[in-house]
Amino acid sequence: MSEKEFSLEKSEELIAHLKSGATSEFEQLRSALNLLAHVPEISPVATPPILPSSVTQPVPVVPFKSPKPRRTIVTSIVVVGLFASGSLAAAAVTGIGPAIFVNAGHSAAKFVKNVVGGVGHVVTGNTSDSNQNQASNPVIPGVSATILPTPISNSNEDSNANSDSNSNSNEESNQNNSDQTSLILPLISNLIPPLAPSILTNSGSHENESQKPNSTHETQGPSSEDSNQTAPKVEKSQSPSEDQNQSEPHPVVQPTPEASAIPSSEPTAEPSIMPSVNPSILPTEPTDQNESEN
Amino acid sequence: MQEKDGNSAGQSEKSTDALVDALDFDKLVEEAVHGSDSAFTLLWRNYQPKMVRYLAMFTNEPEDLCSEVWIKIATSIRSFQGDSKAFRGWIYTIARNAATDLARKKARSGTNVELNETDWIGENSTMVEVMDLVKRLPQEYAEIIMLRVVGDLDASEVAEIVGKTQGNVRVLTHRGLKQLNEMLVNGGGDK
Repeated sequence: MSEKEFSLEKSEELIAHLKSGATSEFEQLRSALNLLAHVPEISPVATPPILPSSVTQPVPVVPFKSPKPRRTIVTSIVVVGLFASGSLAAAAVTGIGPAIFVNAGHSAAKFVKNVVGGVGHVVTGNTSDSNQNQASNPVIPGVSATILPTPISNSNEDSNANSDSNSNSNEESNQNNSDQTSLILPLISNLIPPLAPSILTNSGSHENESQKPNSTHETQGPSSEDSNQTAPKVEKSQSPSEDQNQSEPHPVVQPTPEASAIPSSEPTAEPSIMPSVNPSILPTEPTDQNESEN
Repeated sequence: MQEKDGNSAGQSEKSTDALVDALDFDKLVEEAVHGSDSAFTLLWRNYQPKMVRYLAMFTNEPEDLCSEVWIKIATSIRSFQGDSKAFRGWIYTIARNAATDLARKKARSGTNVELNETDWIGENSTMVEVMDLVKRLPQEYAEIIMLRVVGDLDASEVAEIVGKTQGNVRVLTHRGLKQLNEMLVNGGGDK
């Protein structure tokens, strides 16, 4: 065997001439391969285990059309939108969160405010106040700043107190104020300024004076520095309960005796009252005058 | 089903016999693809023994495995495209995959798939010895030798089935035959 070299060509030749019966120098291997290649025949009566005709055709796959995917997409879009708007509103109100969200929330709130304010002023018909309010809009965390100035003009102490309450309780208000009040306040703030002059017309000269603080607050904004500058006197008179007052516009009016006239205007958040503000003041003036005379 | 199969096979027996005599396997494959039971039966008769022998390398019960293979062939023959040469490679590919699946199952269950002499009752004793020798070869060599010798496939067809190049198949065939020849000369090798 060692004498015969079994090369690759010879192995291929051996396989190629396997069935021809040609002799090979590797006879033992050739006979073994012949045995392997020779297979017994099947009896003619034998049949295959299955025939193509007996194979049932597979049921064609019907594409599955379900409304669920579309419904899921719509639902997910709605949920994501609600979540995004909610988170933006929360960021705008609380001022807590990434700066991008807070800024976006501020801008969104400003936009909403502008739209609502525009609608409100269409009702009131007072354009000058609307401009002022829009100017004060950027300061959403200090939403009360747009509300408070109107009573502030009545007494400086009160105004300082309110500004102090703003500055002191800025953080607290950001954290403690509920979303509902903070979301409602911007709407109210748009509606109150038209009322404020009407309320303050108790003393006619107050009207111009009352607008000044507004303008200052609007231009400067309710930043803590500004409020601190005007604050020092009032800090002494501040009570811890004023945190609650801050969230509500009406308690600001409490210290003044004129506030007795104001409760009638507390529900003034309703724009329906506004057009009739000036005439409604007239009945109150005699009482004030009477009181002053007395 | 048996009667139907017998009738259909009997009706076209003459024509199919003529085809087999002429070795017109291309025509047989074409008819089988179009649903001819007789053509399919003739193909089965021609390839079944070779396939059983080929599968005997993988399992102790090659007939059962071969039946499964033919069921798969019958169910999917309508989707086959090609001539008789391609059909030959196709059915051996199915057989190889079935054997691989079976070996995998038995490997999981821990069953030994080695052949013993009793499994070859009915075969020539020399044939049993040869098969035993082939079984001792490395799996790669043995499979390629069986495909080329028993399946009568050339190197290119085997290369497609086992996923190797033609040159690689030739080299593996040569190494397997050389090792088998040494075993035959040495009287069965280690055994």
